[in-house]
Amino acid sequence: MQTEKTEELAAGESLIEPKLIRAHIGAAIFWLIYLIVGGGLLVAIKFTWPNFLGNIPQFTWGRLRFVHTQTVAYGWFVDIFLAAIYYMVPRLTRVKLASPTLAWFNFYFYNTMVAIGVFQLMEGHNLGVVWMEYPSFINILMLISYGALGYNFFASYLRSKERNLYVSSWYMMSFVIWATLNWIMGGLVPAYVAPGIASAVVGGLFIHDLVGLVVTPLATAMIYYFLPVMLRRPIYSHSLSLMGFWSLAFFYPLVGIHHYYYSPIPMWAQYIAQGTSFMLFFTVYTVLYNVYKTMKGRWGDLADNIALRWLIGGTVFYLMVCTQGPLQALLIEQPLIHFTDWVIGHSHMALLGFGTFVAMGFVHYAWPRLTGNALNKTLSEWSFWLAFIGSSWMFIDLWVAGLMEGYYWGYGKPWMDSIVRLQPYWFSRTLSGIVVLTGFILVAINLIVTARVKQPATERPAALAGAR
Amino acid sequence: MDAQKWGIERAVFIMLVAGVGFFALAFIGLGVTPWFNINHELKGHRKTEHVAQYTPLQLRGRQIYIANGCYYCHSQFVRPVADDPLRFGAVSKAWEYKHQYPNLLSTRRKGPDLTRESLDHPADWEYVHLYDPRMIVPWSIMPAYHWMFNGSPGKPNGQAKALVAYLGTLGKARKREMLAKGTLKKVFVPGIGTVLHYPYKGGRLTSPGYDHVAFFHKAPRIADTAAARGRGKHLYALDCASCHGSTGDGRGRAARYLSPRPVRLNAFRFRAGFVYKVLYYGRPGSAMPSWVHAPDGFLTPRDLWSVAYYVKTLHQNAALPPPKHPPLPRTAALVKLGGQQFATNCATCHGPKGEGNGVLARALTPAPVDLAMMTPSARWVYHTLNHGRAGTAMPAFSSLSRKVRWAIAYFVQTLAQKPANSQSAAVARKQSVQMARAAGHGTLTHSS
Repeated sequence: MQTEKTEELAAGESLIEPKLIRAHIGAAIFWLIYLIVGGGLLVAIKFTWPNFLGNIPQFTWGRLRFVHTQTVAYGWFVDIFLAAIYYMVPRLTRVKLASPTLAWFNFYFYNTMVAIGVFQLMEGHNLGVVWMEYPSFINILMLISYGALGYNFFASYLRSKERNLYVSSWYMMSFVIWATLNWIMGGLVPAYVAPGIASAVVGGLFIHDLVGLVVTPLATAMIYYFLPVMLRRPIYSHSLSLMGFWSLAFFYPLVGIHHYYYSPIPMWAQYIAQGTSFMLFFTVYTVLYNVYKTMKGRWGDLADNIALRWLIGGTVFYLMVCTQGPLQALLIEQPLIHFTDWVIGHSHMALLGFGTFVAMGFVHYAWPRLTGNALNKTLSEWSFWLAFIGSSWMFIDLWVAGLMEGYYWGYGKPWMDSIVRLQPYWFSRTLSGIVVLTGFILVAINLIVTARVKQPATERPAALAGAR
Repeated sequence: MDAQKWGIERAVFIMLVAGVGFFALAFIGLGVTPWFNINHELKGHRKTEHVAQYTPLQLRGRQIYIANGCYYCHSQFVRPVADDPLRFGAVSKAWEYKHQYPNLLSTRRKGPDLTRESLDHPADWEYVHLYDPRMIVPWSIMPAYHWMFNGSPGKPNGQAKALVAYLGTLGKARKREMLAKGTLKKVFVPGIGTVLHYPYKGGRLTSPGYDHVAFFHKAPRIADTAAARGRGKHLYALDCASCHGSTGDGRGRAARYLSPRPVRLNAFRFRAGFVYKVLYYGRPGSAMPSWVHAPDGFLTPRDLWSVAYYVKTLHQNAALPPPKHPPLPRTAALVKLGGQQFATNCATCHGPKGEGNGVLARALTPAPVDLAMMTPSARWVYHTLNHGRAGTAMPAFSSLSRKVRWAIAYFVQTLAQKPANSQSAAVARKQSVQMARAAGHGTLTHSS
């Protein structure tokens, strides 16, 4: 893509629906804070004080944990992804959204579904499929949302006269298909069609497709879109970006069984999962090589471009999590780390480190352009560093705890040893969660304050320049 | 590659190949094909006959298990790696999961694996543990499920009953299959009860498992030192006091809700070897689990001996409230009468020498105690003869006269003194080796 086109894409304000995007970002940030306060933090506190809020069934560990994970995936991520799609697609296709009414309906409908989902989980209505815990009626109704998104999305591409299909579009198109197919597979097969171990096979595929075919493609699409427009320079290599795409599309759907290593699932399937998991090195390193080559000579921009810093922070976590991933998916590692907190550290780095940081890059880039006001510099700095330090602290804490847990088990220590000796680490994890939460609350405050400031239109360009 | 010329046809291509094609490839290749393998295993095997269909109550319990997220912290598959089989029993097989929609394998273990849970804990233990896990396991971080009870662990409501009914199904199918196939055998150990063992054939285990017994019985017995008792005291406070009470008075927090009630340890003079044996096997038919495998503990031989030595020190003469009438003084004539009465009233279950091997012993759960390995206080025997022991086959012998009851009490105290009258380490070790042989040199699995 040439530089002028990059400039063109960065403009295109008239094509988008700013209020719709703002609504989705707002809802996403709301769910982000809710899933920490109403899910993760309470759950973490219960590790130290198991009786905390213990007499209320709706607030027991087992129920809140699902509020946490389901809201991460379907509240925070899907909402922010919709915002990103509504922001990127009109610019990439150069046509307006086919039906803003449908998109608005979808906004209210989808978020109502997520809210009902939270309520249902707390009430103890649970499908029992890992990462697909909403009861089935919500799963079926949510298909309407996928349909509505699919209509608006593909209508844009079909009406487009743009002959240039940028790589972000590839990722987004596949995302829309994968998310829908995965949703149907996960909601239908393990709970109703396949019994026992066969349901674990499909359940494993579903779990990893959620990360690999829903979160990763959209986050990568954001990186490929926002990195060039932030830097005002084209992406380093198109060929590399396509190689990254095709290897993701081919290998990611095949890795899911690594969630159930050494289970009664046929061993040949586990060996294949091990091989394909290892191949993800290729996918991730091509994407990141491309990203860092694009960054070449421009690392100094991180100092004052807060949005770029979130984005690049996310890619650094991506590098780490996906170096960890293929290595820990080796069967030889599994006796030690499987079932331990290590995996929790790993999945937090994938979703909190990689996905959330990249999405925050989008939010910090888009919000000034949607509201016409610059973000507060001090708040931005504080929120970034709190989130960065807090989340890094959390990951490291959980890895250490997980290794200790694995060694306690492996060396045949009594079960309770692994609980008692890990208490300090769990307490520390709670503290790190509070730091992360503070960071995100500051983000929310920053966004609200920015949206409320009324500035004369003439001052806008200056304000925006400051934000870049 | 020139991206400039690629248009909407390309988009359709991408969506069909990458979006639908690769996804379908993965679903068919790694989702459906293993399923055929598994179905083949399900159909080909008569093993699946052992998998019972869930009753409506158990199914409701399973829903409650799901609703409360139990499956997040408690995995349900035993891997053939690491310490899994030692801790949790036989490695899982695909056919065991036949009627499960969806599977509850889980990807996390914050609590122990529950694949073989029904073989480890009886319902009374489950109720108390559900009501408040810290009543039994003081450092547990499991939530307390008070709302599944009407105020106390003894009063479960429908939810707790359903959940415990479901927990009772875990591991049953595999146990039935292994018993039918002979890869698991029931062995009666006097004074303990009927326990399950993996048998040996030609010096090798006949099923996947680990040579637990060899490890435990070849391990040297440690000396009864102050340090050992100190370690035992620590472990007792950690693992035993919640049921047996911190002083061994049988009044731990959980005690009153268990049936039979935990033994009042301070009313006995134990032989360390016997305590070791109980810790090793557990007591089938009571809430006492095995402490060497099982989720409960993973204690080493050294730990077991330490606890045994500490338990010996708990004995107190005045452990029981004095009986209504003053005890009759011990005389030789009274002990002799006791011997006759014991042979008449007690020997059918406890055995002629009180070793817990009477003709009825095998039929009873929990099995009669081995009185040759422990000396109860006379008052305790008198008390037990008066009241029986709820939750066991031991009845109240209220028809016997006061004199006869005291006579039996004094006689029972003499039983443990008979064999060689020596508690030297060598003898006890020999006994423990014999015990292992009697058990068929098999790996200990769960008591049932």
